[in-house]
Amino acid sequence: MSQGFTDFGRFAEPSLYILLSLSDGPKHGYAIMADVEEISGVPLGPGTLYGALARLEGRGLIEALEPVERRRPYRLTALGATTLKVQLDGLAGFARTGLERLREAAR
Amino acid sequence: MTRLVGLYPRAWRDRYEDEFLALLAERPPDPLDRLDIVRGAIDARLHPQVQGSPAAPEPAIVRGPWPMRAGWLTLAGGVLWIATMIVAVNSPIVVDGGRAYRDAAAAAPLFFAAVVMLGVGMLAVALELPEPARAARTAAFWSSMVGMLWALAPWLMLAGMTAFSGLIVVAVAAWRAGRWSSLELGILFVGVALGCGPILAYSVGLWVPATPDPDTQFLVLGALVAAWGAVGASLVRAPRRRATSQPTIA
Repeated sequence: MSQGFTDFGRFAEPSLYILLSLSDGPKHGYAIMADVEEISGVPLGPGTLYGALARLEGRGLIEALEPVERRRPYRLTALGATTLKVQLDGLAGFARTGLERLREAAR
Repeated sequence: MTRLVGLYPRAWRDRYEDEFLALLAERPPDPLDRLDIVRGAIDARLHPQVQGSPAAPEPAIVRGPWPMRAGWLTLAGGVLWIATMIVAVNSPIVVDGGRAYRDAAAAAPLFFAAVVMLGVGMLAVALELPEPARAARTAAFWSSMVGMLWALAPWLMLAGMTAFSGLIVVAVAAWRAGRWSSLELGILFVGVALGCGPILAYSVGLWVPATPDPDTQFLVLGALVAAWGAVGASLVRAPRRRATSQPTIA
């Protein structure tokens, strides 16, 4: 699902959700958690969120902005946007192939 | 909640603590979140993503000669502890009502000295901790008192285990302050677990040796020498510096 994050371990999938969450603009931790829960239907724990944020920031996929009342927003970098697009294209291809095969099997 | 965040490494806290606490204030964690925070802290220690880099050269930690002396004394106490066990397993066997045990009275002075020396080392570790270290120092004080009781009455194993529990509190505080390495803390944990675990299990009836052997307890207690080793080594070597620098993302 998230081949671009092979060294992220258990943080790979949450990282993809975070990139997706930041794709429509900067968000701080709480907003990311709420958005990811809405996207995936699975709550994101605070330890997992910050484990993923640290990895994404370390690889230059997101960047931290100036904090507002202790809440620090993050935004997608150009590299992060490209990485997200590659991941989503891969997922779209995966879904397309799966659906085609199901259709063929049903004939 | 600050306690849980305190599990994260210093460099991580320098970078993320403020916003992390703000997040937790906004969304109070449930038990699963707390578990997730602990998992996150373990990950941050095993796979650090944030590393501290010194902003400016820092002056060396000024340290008098007494911590090192206490360290050597503690290591000597470890030698005495082994000697205690050797003397004990060579003591005469007494059979009393079908129960055999060693009359280890000859080892009592060595036992006393070894335990007192460990107490000195533990107090030295606690006194070297940066402020605030009230909990660790209180634990060190009471553990040394209970340890003295154990030194005078070795059959009071509960006192011994209480003293070692206090030592673990001090060691964890030293590790969190960056004064102890993970290796030293691990050695202490393993030694205390091997030394106290079987005795505690035996005391509550969870474990009974297949063949009663009067020497088993001395072999088990021998593992506790790890405590003298870890405390002594932490004091003898050069002091570790706590990361107080600008964090950088790896």
